Amino acid sequence: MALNENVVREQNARIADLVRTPAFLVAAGSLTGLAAATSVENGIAIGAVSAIAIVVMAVLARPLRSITGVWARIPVLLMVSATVVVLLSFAMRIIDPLIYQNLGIYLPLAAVNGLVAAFIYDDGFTAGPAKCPLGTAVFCAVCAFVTLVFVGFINGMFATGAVFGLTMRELAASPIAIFGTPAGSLLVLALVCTFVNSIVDAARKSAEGGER
Amino acid sequence: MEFFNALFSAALDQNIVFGQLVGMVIVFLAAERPQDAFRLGGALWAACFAAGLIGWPVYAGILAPWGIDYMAPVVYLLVSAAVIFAGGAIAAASRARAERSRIYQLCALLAVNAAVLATPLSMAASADVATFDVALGTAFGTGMGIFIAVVAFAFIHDRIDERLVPGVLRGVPISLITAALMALAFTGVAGIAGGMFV
Repeated sequence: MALNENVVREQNARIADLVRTPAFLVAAGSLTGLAAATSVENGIAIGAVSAIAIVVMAVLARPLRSITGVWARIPVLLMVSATVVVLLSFAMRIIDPLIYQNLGIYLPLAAVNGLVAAFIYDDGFTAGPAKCPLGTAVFCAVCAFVTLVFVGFINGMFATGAVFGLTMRELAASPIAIFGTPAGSLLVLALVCTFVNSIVDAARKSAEGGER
Repeated sequence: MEFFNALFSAALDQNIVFGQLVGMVIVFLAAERPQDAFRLGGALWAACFAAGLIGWPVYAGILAPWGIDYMAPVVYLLVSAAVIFAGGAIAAASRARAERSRIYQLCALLAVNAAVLATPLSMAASADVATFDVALGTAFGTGMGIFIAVVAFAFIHDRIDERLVPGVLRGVPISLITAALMALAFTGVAGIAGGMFV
């Protein structure tokens, strides 16, 4: 039916616009490691692993696509991504075994981070303020790292009252329990994405003001 | 009873999407096409079940005894992708070219989903103490959990009228707030569902 086709076309166009907004890039890069960001140290670790995985896959996706067949493409790229993350896990285990244990299954899940998957699916993925895939990857990696560190900072501060080894007596005495749960992490990420949206809106308004 | 206990614990108490924040990106994207929520949720259910069902014996029979459990992510991704694409090839047999292309895209989407990797990884973490009943229930329940998450979020998100949402909250932020509220709801049933069959 023509009406259904128009609705589907509109939905596909909305999805294509959504995945290229800076707020979605921040969310997609951070969501996979969000549950592990329960403290600043954990946030730094999972943020670093996610950022490195995003950049490495953005660099490797195009040359690997050129030498693999259509049906082997996705499994090969997934295996390379998993290998990169396994090597990063070894490094994490040597650097800090306690953080490696705290991160649990979320460390290998960086191999299928939302933005890593985007580059596996489409090696020419370009979004946000960047004009090329590598620029997009670097932008996404930095955003994911900063976001996960911030989420870890907020979760650690409000859930335990401790940050950077210092304890805030009032918060330690009566912690805000929601920040130790998935719901709290999602709310903090929503705050970050709202901030990103406000920057994008301000930039668009100043560009429109400049044109007038 | 262990099977049902593991099934409902995995589906509701420890829901992989809203309890462990795994596979949320596809839940957000599926919400933009609510008419496909059941089909995508069902495909994810099957993919997670297959990944869990194969992952547990692979870990218990090959990776752990040989001391190469660090290779688990690579092996699971390879095996899951092979199973998903094999299933897709069977489903796409004797179909039109456009339909085959859509099935291939769906298979690619399932293969890169975090929940398909997380299911066998989390089962491997408890492989020492889990029996086959528990592993089967966990794999089936994890798939059921992601099906519930995809469908519920799609229909709840469809009810949001973005004209009433402030400008900076439109799009991703309101989706995240909705997901946070759903995560709170799942926290509310934690300990109830799995405890029914003890």
